[in-house]
Amino acid sequence: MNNQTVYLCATTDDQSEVEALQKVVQESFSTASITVVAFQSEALDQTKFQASFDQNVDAITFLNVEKLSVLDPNAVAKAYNQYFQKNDAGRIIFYANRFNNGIAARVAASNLSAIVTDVEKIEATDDHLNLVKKSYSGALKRQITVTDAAPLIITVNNSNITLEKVAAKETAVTEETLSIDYQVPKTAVYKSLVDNDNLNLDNAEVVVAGGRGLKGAEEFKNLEKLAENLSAAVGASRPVVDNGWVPNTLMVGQSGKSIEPDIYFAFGISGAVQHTVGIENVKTIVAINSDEKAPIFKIADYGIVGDAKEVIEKMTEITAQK
Amino acid sequence: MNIVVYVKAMVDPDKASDDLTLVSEPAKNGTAVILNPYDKNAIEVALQLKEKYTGEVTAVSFGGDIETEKVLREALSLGCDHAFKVNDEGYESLDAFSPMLGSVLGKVPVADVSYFITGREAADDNQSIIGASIAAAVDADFVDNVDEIEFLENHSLKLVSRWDQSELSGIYEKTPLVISVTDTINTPRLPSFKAKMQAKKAKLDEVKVSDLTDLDLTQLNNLREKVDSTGVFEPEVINKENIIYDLEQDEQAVDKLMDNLKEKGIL
Repeated sequence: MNNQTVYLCATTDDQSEVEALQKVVQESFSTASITVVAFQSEALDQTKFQASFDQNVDAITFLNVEKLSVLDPNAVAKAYNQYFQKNDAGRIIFYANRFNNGIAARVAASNLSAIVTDVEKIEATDDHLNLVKKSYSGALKRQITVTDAAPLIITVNNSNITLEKVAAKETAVTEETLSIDYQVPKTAVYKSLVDNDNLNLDNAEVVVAGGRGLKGAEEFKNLEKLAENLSAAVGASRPVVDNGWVPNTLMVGQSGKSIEPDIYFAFGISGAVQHTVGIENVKTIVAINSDEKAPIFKIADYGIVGDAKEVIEKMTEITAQK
Repeated sequence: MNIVVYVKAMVDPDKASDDLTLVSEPAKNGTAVILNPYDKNAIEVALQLKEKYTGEVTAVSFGGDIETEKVLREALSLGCDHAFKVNDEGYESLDAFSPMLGSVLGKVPVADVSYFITGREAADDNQSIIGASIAAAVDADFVDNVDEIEFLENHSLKLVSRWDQSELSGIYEKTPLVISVTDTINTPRLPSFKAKMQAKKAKLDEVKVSDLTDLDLTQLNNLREKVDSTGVFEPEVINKENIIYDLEQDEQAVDKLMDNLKEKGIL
């Protein structure tokens, strides 16, 4: 059954999305026939996308929707549905993020097909697939075995895998223009929240984050000074955002962002799974907490048992001397 | 104009990791069962819709007796007007890895529904597929990951969907509409003691899956055989070097940490 065509679906040209799909090929489907189905929009530039995917897959199809003014997930899903009705869909794979999970869910719902989201590992054998997916918000993993279900829709979250260079392959590029039956609501506005001009949680190599242990909004001002010294972005745990100490764009974890800086300083963050699920792929975690039993120490590479405020002050002093 | 809110009973993730058997038998320990946290935000939106416009709120939940009743009573105590239990007997795996549960729940008999509300995902299976499945079942548009809601004149809503890297805002006039909400859209209200007591005694409506649909059991079993969970396990603990300094014992702790990070080229 693993000779079915694998369809890799992309809705943006973001590097993380492109790489995640390439890793799926590398890890699980290196001998399968691969077709990339990319949805062309303001979030996906055809030339850029093609350049990053070229020579790695058998075919790339760009889907265009006539007169689509705004990137609306209902429209995107309808386009994919139309495409898959015409093609004998086998494995349909998206990169797992909140936007794509919504598309995948809509496509699955329209055909009552099997769907597994947020899959961290796909192991393909001759007659089945073994999947591992996030469960209980990251506290547990779930093992799933798939035998000949088709179509099967999967969204993948595989940033723990390293992408290797692959051999060249001839790629056939086609374009398909579709007309769909969906009215984007009037006054709809789509906005990218990617900010490449300023240092932020998405692009910083160093992140300093604060939790309840910082005891108030005041201490975040001191954390900002430290961040400046380290060229770091500031992050926060959920309780801090709920208390209104910082805006929710700084939230890291299940309800906020998943981030991958080289080093993450957690000041006064206890380390509940809802938070740590957002820092799973950080290379080095440094925990600072007054409670030596705080769960954050279990996943930390380095740590200081002590008052977060005091440590922030000291670190700011040390880093200012540079 | 009525509102349906879908709620799910689940095992508290913190307790699930301590006792993996809870995951397969949630009723074994009723106290470990909680209302899916995202659904609290969904209930709050449903109640706000009712307060702003008119209509009644019906909470619907699918599952076994003990768990489902617990969360439906919580929904009632928060202000939902009716509670509908969809008994899972014979269809326990209806919600596993397919949109079939949504296609059944979309058929729960509530008249004149304008809004179907769900949480963004359930914090136990993290699938986030129920909203789309309901929308397909009731043939309505679906607005997902709604993080901001504004109630406008003439029963129209301004909704902002917010995803990891982008957002979409728009004014939605057409009903019925299915909305899934994030857990940052609002702060859910708390029940009063009196409301809790009343909810304990309230009557729950109950329906069986077979009353709602002529769903073909073979189709379901077929899918279950093809996509089957072989269980949950705890994530591998990555062995970290775990160098911990104690500020109370060692005044130089911060200097030592920073030196160490620099030496190793981490900072």
